[in-house]
Amino acid sequence: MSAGGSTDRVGAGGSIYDLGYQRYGGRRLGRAYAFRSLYLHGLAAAFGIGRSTRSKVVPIGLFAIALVPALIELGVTALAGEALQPVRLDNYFSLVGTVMVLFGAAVAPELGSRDQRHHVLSLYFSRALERRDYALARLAALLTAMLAIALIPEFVLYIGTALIHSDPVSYLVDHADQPGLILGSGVLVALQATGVALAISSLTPRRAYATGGIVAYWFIADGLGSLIASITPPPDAGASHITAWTHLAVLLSPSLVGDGTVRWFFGTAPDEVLARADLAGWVYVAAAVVYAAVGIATVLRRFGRIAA
Amino acid sequence: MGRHGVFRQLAVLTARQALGRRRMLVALLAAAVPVLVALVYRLAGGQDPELFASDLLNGIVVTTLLPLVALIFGTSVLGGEIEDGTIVYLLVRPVARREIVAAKLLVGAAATAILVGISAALALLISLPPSLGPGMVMASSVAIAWGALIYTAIAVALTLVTGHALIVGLIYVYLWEGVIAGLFAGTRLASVHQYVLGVAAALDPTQPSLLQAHLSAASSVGLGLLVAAAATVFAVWRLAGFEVAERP
Repeated sequence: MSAGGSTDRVGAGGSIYDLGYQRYGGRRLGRAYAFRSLYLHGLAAAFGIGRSTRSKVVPIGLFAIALVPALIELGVTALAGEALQPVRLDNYFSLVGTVMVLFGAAVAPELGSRDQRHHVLSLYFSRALERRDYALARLAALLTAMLAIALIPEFVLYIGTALIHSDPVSYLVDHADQPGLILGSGVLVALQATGVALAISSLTPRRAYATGGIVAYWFIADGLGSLIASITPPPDAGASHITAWTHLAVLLSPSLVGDGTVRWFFGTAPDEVLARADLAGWVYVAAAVVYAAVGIATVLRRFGRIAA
Repeated sequence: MGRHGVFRQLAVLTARQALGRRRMLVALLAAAVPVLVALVYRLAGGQDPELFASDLLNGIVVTTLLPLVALIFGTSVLGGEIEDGTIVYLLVRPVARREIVAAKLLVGAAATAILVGISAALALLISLPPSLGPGMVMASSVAIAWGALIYTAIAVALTLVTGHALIVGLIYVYLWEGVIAGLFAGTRLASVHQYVLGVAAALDPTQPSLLQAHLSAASSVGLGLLVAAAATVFAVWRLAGFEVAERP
C-alpha cells in the first residue's frame, strides 16, 4: 500500500493531535458558589459599586432622596415636638414610592438587559449556573437593593424617633410591633416593585427601552387606575352595571396597591382615592402578591427560554 | 444637494431610525390609555364632564404621557445614534451641527406633539359635550405642542451630557415636577409641567379654568421659550465640541 493511501485513511477516520492545552485541575466551586458570586456582583452593580462614578450618581442619589423625608421629620420632631407629623411610617411609601420606581427604572435594566445586549448570557449558561439560578440571582440582587430603599429610611425614622424621646427604652417597648410592620409591608412593596421592574427589563436587550417601559407602565397604570376609580360614585349612590366595576380599577395601579398594602399593615384609614374604592385591606395585599408573582414568573420564563 | 435637501434628508433619516418598531409600539400603547379612560367614563354615563376632562388632561396627559413620550423620543433621536456609534457618520459630513440639532429636535417634538395631541383630542371629544369639545381640543393641542418642544429640547440636551439621559429626565419629571413642585410652590417657576398648564388654561373655553394652572399665560410662554432656547443652544454647543471618538 502506498504512502498516499495511508494519509487518506487517517483523514477519513480523523485523528487527534495533542496541542498542549492544559486541563483545569483546581477546585470546582460549584453551582452555589456561582449563584452567590452572581448575586453579590448584581447587588454591587445595582449601586454602581466597582463601576465609574457616573454610574453611582443615580442609584446612590435616589437612595439619599428616599432618606430625606425621614431626616426632615426627625429634625422637625426634635425641634418642635410631636405636634406635627406629616411623615409617618404608614405614609412613607406614598412619599417615596416614586423614588423606588425610578430606582427600579435606573437599576433593573443594568441587571436584566445588559447581558442580553452584550450577548454574554451564553457565557453564564455554559457554567455550573443554570438558567433558573441566573434569573433568581438577578431577582435577589434587585430585591435586596429595593429592600434597602424600602426599609432603611423607615428604620431610621423609627429609631430616630425613639432616640428623640426622653425615655427611648419605654418608647421602643410601647411601639414594639412597629419593626414587624415595617418589615412586612416593606418586603411586600419591594417584592412588587422588583417583580415589575425586572420582568420588563428582561424582555428587552436595550437599556433605554427597559427604563422607558418600566416608567411608562408604572405611571400610566397609576393614572389609569386612579382616574377610572374617580368615576365611581360614592358607595351610597345607585350604581349602573359599569360603575359597579370601576372601583376595582385601583388595583390596576401598582402604587395604589402598594399604598393600600402599607395602610393595611399599619391599620390606618385610606386617603381619598382608596376610600372611594372601598376595598377590604387584604385585597391590596393579595394584589401586591399577584404583581410580585407574575413579575417573578415572567423573569424565570424569559431567562428559561431566551436563546443564548 | 442644497441646504434644504440636507435638512430634509436628516429629518427623514431621524424619523426612520428613532420612531421605528418597538419604541413606537410602546408609545402608541401609552397614547391609547387616555382614550380608553374617556371611553369607560362615557360608558359609565359620567357626571361633571368639565371636571373629568380637566382631570384627564392635567392628571394623565400633561403630567405623565406628554413628558414620557417626549423624553423617549427626545433621547432617542440623538442619543440612539450616540449609543450605536452611528453619529460618527453624521459628524464627518459637511453639515452644520446646529442643523443636526435642529432636525433632530424638530422630528422628536413633532412626533410627540402629533401622538400625544391626537390621543388627548380623541379623549376630550369622547368625554366632553359638543359645545365644549372642539374649544378644549384646540387648547390642549397648542399646549401639548408647546410642551413637546420644551421637553424634547431638554431631552436632546441631556443626551449630550450623560449616557443616562432618559433616567435623569425622568427623575426631573417625576421627582421635581411631580413631588417637589407639589410641596414648594416657588419651584413651579421651573416646571415645564406648569408652562404647559399655563398655556392650556389660558385657551380653555371654560373660564375660570379647572386646570389648576399656577402661572399666567405670559410667564408660561416666556419661561418656556427661555428654557427651550437655552437647552437648544447648549445642545448645539455640546455637539460642536463633540469629539468623534468620545463615548459619553
